[in-house]
Amino acid sequence: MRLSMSEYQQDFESIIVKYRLSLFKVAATFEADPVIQQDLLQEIFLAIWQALASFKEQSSLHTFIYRVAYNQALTHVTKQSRKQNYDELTENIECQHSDIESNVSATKSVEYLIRKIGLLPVIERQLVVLSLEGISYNDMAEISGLSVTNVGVQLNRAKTKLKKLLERKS
Amino acid sequence: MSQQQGSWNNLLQSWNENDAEIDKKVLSEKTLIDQINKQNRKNKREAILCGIVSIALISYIISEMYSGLPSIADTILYSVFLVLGLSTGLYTLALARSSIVASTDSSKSHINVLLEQSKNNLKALLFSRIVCAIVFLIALFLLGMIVYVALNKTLEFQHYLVGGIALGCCLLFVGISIWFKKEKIQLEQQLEFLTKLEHT
Repeated sequence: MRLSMSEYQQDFESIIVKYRLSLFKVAATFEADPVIQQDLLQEIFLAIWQALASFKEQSSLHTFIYRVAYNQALTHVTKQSRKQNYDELTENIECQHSDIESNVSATKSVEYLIRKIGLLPVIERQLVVLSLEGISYNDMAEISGLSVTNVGVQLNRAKTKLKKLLERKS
Repeated sequence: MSQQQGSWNNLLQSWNENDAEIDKKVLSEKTLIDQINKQNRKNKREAILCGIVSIALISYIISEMYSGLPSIADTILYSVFLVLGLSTGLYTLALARSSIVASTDSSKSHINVLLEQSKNNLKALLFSRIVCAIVFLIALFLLGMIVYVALNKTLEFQHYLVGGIALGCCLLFVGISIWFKKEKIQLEQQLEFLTKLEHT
């Protein structure tokens, strides 16, 4: 059943209300610069707007939204890699993060946590955020394209790395 | 193991309980909706404008070419403009396509698509560099012809005009070549990044 333009717009607005904060956290783990984070969030919602027409309810709406959001974030990080090589990119993210870190006193701050997650490799970063958002292993596998077993293995590895990262500065 | 589970539960708690802290940093719902609507309108306007420019340019050149038998210099100039017209057309298509396509694949498939795209872009860039070099040589040849005419007889207004355009084209294509070289380096970096990502 095709939605009319106003229904489509309404659906989209309810998605913005529901997923605004969750998708900002996704954007923030892929981009350290606060200004570009907002741009990335807009790009993510724009991609969701464009993709919504192809949503066929074969998967749940939140799996669909996270899939589009992560693909947009991956496209963003790929574009960033044009400006710097891989090592410089990682180093730069780490450097920008530690600058901001010095101003953060509470180690439990969600921003601090986002910054630390941002230091993980891309796929591990994705799995950690999805896990924190309460997404099941099956849905994580559907979003990332990994097998359920592989999701478990990579997620455990990511959790160990994250724990070490959190211990290093706190 | 239970210690790791405990610290993970703490993270889970701080992730979900501090939304107020994040809320202040994120654009409001209304601003987001307005900006997305604005961007959608801007994309449509850009695609329509590029389409009009491309069609106008190509139609003009075709009508000029059929209005009478053109000289060699005219043909070369028409070819240069035809290339520009077609490039604008192709850019329009790319613009329209990129504004429609938002990937709904899994991340793994999306990485593969990005990898394939980068490889194809690299090939397209190589082809464009060859075309650019050919057009540069044609413009250079035209410039050479004008210089040759200048050495043998007094130049007329149209000679200066054609010479100026040929010189402009030469400079333009030198600039484009330099830009292509930079693009190539950036694309290679992108390819390296995506290859590493694919193997993670």
